[in-house]
Amino acid sequence: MSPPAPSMRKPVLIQVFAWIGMLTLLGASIGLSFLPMDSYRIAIHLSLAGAMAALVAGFFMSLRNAPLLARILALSALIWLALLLVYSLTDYLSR
Amino acid sequence: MNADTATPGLAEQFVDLQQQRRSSLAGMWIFIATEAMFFGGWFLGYAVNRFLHPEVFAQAATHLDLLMGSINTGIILTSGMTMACAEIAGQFERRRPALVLISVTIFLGLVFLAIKGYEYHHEYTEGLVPLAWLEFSYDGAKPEIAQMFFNSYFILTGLHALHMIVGVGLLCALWILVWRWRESGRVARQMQVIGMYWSFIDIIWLFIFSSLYLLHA
Repeated sequence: MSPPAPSMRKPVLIQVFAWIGMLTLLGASIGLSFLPMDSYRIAIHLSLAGAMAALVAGFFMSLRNAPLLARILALSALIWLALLLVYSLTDYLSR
Repeated sequence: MNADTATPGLAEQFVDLQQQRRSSLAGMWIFIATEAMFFGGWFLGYAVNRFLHPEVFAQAATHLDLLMGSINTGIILTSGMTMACAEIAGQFERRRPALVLISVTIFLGLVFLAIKGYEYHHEYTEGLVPLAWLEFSYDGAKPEIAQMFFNSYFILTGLHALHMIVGVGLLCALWILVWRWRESGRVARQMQVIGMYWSFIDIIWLFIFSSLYLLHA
């Protein structure tokens, strides 16, 4: 008797739950966009976008299970991008 | 020739399939890093102009179609999920579910592009396309500043749409590769690499949507 074929139900369910989490964050972000505009709202929207992006990278791009080299490269991308944005914007934000 | 080079799907420069998989993942992350820097420059330009003219940019954002943008964000997140599930099906060597899920992902990508095209048409009829040979007609304050907002909007969404078109093309090629199903390991690796590209496009859209559509007055 051959062993039962492995089920892909659990990994698929994990992706579905991550997707539901993203849609929840998206709904919250859209709802908050009707609050009065101020700098806090910008920070909230960008934080929620960052949280959704982290879920996409962690689950859809499998970064949570990725080899160390892939994680280091993903972190490097984030650091280089942060250097570009933070160093450039510091000039404007500190005026 | 050593014994390992005879492993199906193993290119001669690699020791084993695991090293080959790790190399393709590393290569893809380096590519994504360059893409992130490419979009980062455009986002930086937008952020500087938004910081200098916050009221005009917030008012200009009210001219975008928030409903269509929201629907498109839901669609692109759903397409990311279907692609991730297709990858799982590929890892479990389930050809038929993988083909169905890739087909759904392609369909959702095309729906996204169709909605984006509808939005562009609407903006064109309203005179909001800032091209030299078109008249820019904007009814709010400081139209010359608002034009800078629409420059950023069309550049960012246009570059994103271009990446989407490439992504749909890659998914169509992937569909054929999965349909043929030559070697399981190779197909799963191809699915993972193309899936990463597709998810990266999702991430770019999340920031476009959050910084252009949602930051309205």
